[in-house]
Amino acid sequence: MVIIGEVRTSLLHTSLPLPGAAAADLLALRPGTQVRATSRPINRTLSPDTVTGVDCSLPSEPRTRSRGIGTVVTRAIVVGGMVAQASSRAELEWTDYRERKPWKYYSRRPGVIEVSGPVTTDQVLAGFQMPSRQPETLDLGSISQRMINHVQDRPQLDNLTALRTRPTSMRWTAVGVEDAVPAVRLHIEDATMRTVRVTVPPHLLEEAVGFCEDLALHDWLYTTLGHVIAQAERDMARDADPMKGLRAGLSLLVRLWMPGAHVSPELRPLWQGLEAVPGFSEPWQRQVDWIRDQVFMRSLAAVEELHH
Amino acid sequence: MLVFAASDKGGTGRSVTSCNVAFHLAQRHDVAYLDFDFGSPTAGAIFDITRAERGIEQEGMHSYFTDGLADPRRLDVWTSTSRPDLRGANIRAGRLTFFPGEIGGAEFGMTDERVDRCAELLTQLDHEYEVVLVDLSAGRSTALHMALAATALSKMRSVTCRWLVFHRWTRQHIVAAHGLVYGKHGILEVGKISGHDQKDLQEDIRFVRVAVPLLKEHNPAQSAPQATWLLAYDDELRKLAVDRRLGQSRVLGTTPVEPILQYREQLITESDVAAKIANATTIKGFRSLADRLVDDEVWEGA
Repeated sequence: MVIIGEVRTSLLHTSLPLPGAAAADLLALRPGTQVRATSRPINRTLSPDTVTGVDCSLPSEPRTRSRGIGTVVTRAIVVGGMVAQASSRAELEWTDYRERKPWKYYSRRPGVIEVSGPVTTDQVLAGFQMPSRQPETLDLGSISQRMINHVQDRPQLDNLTALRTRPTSMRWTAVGVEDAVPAVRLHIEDATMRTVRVTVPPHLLEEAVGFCEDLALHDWLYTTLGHVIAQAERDMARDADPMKGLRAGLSLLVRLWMPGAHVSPELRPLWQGLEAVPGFSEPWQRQVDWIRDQVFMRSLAAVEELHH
Repeated sequence: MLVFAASDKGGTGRSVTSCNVAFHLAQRHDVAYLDFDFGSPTAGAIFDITRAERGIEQEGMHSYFTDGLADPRRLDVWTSTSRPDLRGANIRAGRLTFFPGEIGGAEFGMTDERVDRCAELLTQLDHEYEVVLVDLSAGRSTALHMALAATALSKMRSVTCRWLVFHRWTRQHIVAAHGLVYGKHGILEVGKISGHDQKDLQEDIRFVRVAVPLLKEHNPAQSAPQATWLLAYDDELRKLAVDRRLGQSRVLGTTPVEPILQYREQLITESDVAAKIANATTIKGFRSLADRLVDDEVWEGA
């Protein structure tokens, strides 16, 4: 059993974090559908799933003929009223038939893509792990991007930003293997693209979706705080004031750091592995400390200047 | 901040000046450069990106508007350029991301959907980059109309927009630039129809004088009558510019005549100046344009 997915993560186009009710309102994308929200330990709001029909070939490595017909489900997520994610996923099922069945058949199975052709599971998995997407194949990223654009365009947002940030993409595959010990491999492909491979026992496959979303969120937070520091150093190098970006980084991002908080307890060991290699919370904390030190020292210098 | 680069005529040096300004801004900010010159994308050549010299084959700006492409191609100038002196010239430079047009692309019509997509892209990039520079096709093009319509949408009200109109220092160019801004179907008229407040829009427009000869410099090749004529005519052009509301208070900056750029449109770097191939005044002109572009005081009341 295999699930593939792609998560796009970006800062919500709002100057201040949205209160919980406003976040729910933001993600009520269609009337009459239920938005799910949890408020502890941190507010996380989930939109209802939207369904996209697909009939196309799948990425594969080495390239092999394939046809995937079915549906992709996508949801939008807002964390802490500040970060927007769009997460698309589909389970792959190999079949023998060639002709497309009536769409009614596929729409009854949201989030399942039936795969035909000589392509193997391993080839598709390798195809999805390629750093650049193969043209003319299933593009979960653009489905997610459309969802992000839709959310960012909603009237609940004031369209102001205190911090300019770069969205990231995380393309992931989750494979269900009997008796497997949960394992994860994270690969940073370039400045904005990450690929992730998760192996779990089959009954935890659905939970892997939430784990990947949580990993994408924290990878984005980590990357973004790194940019805040880089911009501050750039400002300092030319004697410009770095405080605005540092303050925005501290006030908007830091409290969102809670790896594993919304992940199924059975998959939290995956986080422990990542905390060990490459390390997340410890270097994150060091970055936060650096920023606080800068803000503190600069405030102190400003106060001293006032007294002289 | 969104910056739109417009010109009435082609060959004004709009693209090459915009690229150079983007290059200087990127020394300290994250900058995006969008090629909206749909009919003839050339910015790839100016950045010396071989594989995008006249645009790319697919997934460029055209497809974003005409095929519903979600992620138009981005090229990182620092790593895609074939000029070694651009790479690693400043270890602390910001990003300079180039959004290329497409080879064989053509102008296309404006629809409400395209205006929405334009607004979506510009909003998205405004949240990602400090400066988003959009190089528009010359004249009263679809690109210009689309930019005016997109920035007039209520959701874009909070975004800072600045409009640059490039013209060369000749009578014809001054008259043409005047027409593009103040004339029939000009920026102000179309802007107003699109929903802009005309006065606010006017305050967001500045002119850039390109390839202006430096007459004060001693030029031994010049005869006395020639020098006198040039000075007198230069004076006349100044009066014409004031008369046509292109006067000094509405000018963002001036770039001098640069021999290199007469032969080849490219970025002018410190190493070109150090090698004495390019004039120091050229770089100074570009840098001053970049500084003033992001200096709020310059833009308060014209």
